[in-house]
Amino acid sequence: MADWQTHGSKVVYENKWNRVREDDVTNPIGQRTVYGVFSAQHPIVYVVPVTQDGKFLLTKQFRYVLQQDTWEVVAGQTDGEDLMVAARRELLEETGHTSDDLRQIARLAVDTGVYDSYIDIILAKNCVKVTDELDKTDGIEQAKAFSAEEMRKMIHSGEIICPHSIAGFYIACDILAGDTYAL
Amino acid sequence: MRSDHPWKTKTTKVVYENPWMRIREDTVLTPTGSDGIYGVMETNDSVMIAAVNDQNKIYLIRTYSYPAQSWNWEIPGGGGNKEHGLRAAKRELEEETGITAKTWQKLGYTRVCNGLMTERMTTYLASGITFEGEKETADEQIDEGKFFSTKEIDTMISQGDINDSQSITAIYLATRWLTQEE
Repeated sequence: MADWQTHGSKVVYENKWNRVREDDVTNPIGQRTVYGVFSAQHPIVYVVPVTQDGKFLLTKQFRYVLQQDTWEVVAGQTDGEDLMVAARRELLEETGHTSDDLRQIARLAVDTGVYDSYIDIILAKNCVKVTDELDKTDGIEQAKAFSAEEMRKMIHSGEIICPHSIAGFYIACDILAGDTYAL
Repeated sequence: MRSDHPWKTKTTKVVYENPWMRIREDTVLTPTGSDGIYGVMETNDSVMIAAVNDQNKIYLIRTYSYPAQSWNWEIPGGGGNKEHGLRAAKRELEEETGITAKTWQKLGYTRVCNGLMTERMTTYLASGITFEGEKETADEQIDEGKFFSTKEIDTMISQGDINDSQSITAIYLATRWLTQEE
């Protein structure tokens, strides 16, 4: 156990999706200070969708926080439903695809310094397109399939800047390499 | 770069602040035209450093995360104090590991959490390293540091011993760079 001491804790902000608490702490070098910790109100899923021909589906959306378009894997907060149900729903809403082969491949920390919730990374194989309709609520504009090599280039050139997408892709490739997929 | 704005900001206010983070809540019109609120976390930009030895093994530290209340293996790095990225990277690496490096290579910019945080993270590769720098006793805790091969790191990731997106992203960028170099 580490040498942090928590003397008190209070919620200083919350909305439907997030909560911030401030802890009154003594840090390991003995200073009394505050520690702000961010939490998600519901579990978060990131889905790495792979089509039947071994391509990765990415969504293009305008991110309010960054005020720019980004390419990312599928992401969303559960509405309190089961993780795989949420993953299927987000996959359909954001890409118009469904999958009969979903599995959790990692649970990752967002930022170990300020955030105490984890995100679950789901690999969705055999994705099949069922509709052209995409959910516009979060600003999703487009879904498109990219080969692994195209993904690597987009990461290298800075077109993919979402670390959960990069980490999810990295882990998915490792797992798919052990499967029968030819990437 | 696009110039239109699918989201409209109506008002913005700071709802919480401490020396390391600021939370603001904006009232917005969403892309579909409905009213909403958006909570945004503002923190200083950060740097992550993949320090490699002459066998291309990557140096990881075991550190304690107060939010997670657990020890984890991570890539050295942290928040810059609004200083230049490379200067912040040199300082963070030396403070956390005692490592100084001859050669520095910027590997890329990413964000930390697109839906929530404004923070930008820059990954550097440090090579030609020695342990002649000065390690600092900081408020963050580090109890061990070690070199790992990329194969060992892959196993640690698959077993969940390395489990944060920032470290895995930095490792991915470093591994790609090192593979292309060979």
